[in-house]
Amino acid sequence: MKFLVVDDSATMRRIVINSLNRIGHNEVVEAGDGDEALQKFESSITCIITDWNMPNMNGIDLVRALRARADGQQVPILMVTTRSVKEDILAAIEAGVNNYIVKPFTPQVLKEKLDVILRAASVG
Amino acid sequence: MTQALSRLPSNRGASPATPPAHEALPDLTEVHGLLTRAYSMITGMLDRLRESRTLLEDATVQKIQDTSAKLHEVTSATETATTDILDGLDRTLLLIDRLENGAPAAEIAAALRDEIFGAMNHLQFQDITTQQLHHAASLLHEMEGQLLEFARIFDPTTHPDVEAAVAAGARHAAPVAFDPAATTRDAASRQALVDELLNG
Repeated sequence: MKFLVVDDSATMRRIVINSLNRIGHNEVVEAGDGDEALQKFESSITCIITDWNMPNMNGIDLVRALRARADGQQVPILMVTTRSVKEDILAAIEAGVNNYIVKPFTPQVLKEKLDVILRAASVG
Repeated sequence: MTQALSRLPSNRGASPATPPAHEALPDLTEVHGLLTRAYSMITGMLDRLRESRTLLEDATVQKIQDTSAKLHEVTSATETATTDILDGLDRTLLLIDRLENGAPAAEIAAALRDEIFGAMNHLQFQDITTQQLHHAASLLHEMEGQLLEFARIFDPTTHPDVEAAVAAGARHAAPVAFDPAATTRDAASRQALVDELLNG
């Protein structure tokens, strides 16, 4: 499996990538904002983990842009963000995220949410 | 009004009761009108100053309180994360002691890996406190702009160094993106709300 990890914080990208490595996922591409993520996205990416608040293009706009593309409609997307008000969560669901984690998260929560969306993607 | 006042006779070299014949006396009606308009302008300016002062007090006091709260939260989050990391390092040292005393290496290695990974995970506070500090900086920058506008009420030609400093602050402030509500607190209950909405 190949992951695209998108966050403007280099620290957070390392933490997410360490968590992925720990559960056996070692093929990871990084991006610092939505624009860079769109440039790096390609069909071999099996899952996207994205932050919300980023410069240039934020995470919610990235999700919408991906879902508007033919090759981005089915890719599982996990939002990992500090935003946790109801309106934001509903906006993310409407934009097309498959699951949502609030920061700070535990490795167990990340694994659980990934398991859910990857299992759903393989069934679908 | 200055011109009207300047036409009033000077006291020097003549009896104050008898103006020179060739000098015209000012029209007192005109002076009265000028004074009335001046009074109206001054009261209008005072009202505007009072209104501006109230708005400024409200805006700056609230912003200062918000900034102070954010900075307090940064201190608290940093302290909590530091304590958690130090606790993990203490446990790591105990594991090394056990290893030196003959405990099974594979078991100790697994436990060490867990502790180190846990310590790395605590560093999430850095992303969250960065957002909190960006928020505090943006509040201070807003106050800076409002104070500059307030100063312009008294002098439209505010000192160029002040304008340059405010502009430089604006350049430093962009482009960053932050969540004004970013916090390390109550992660479990916030995640529970997310799960409820996702599954509902």
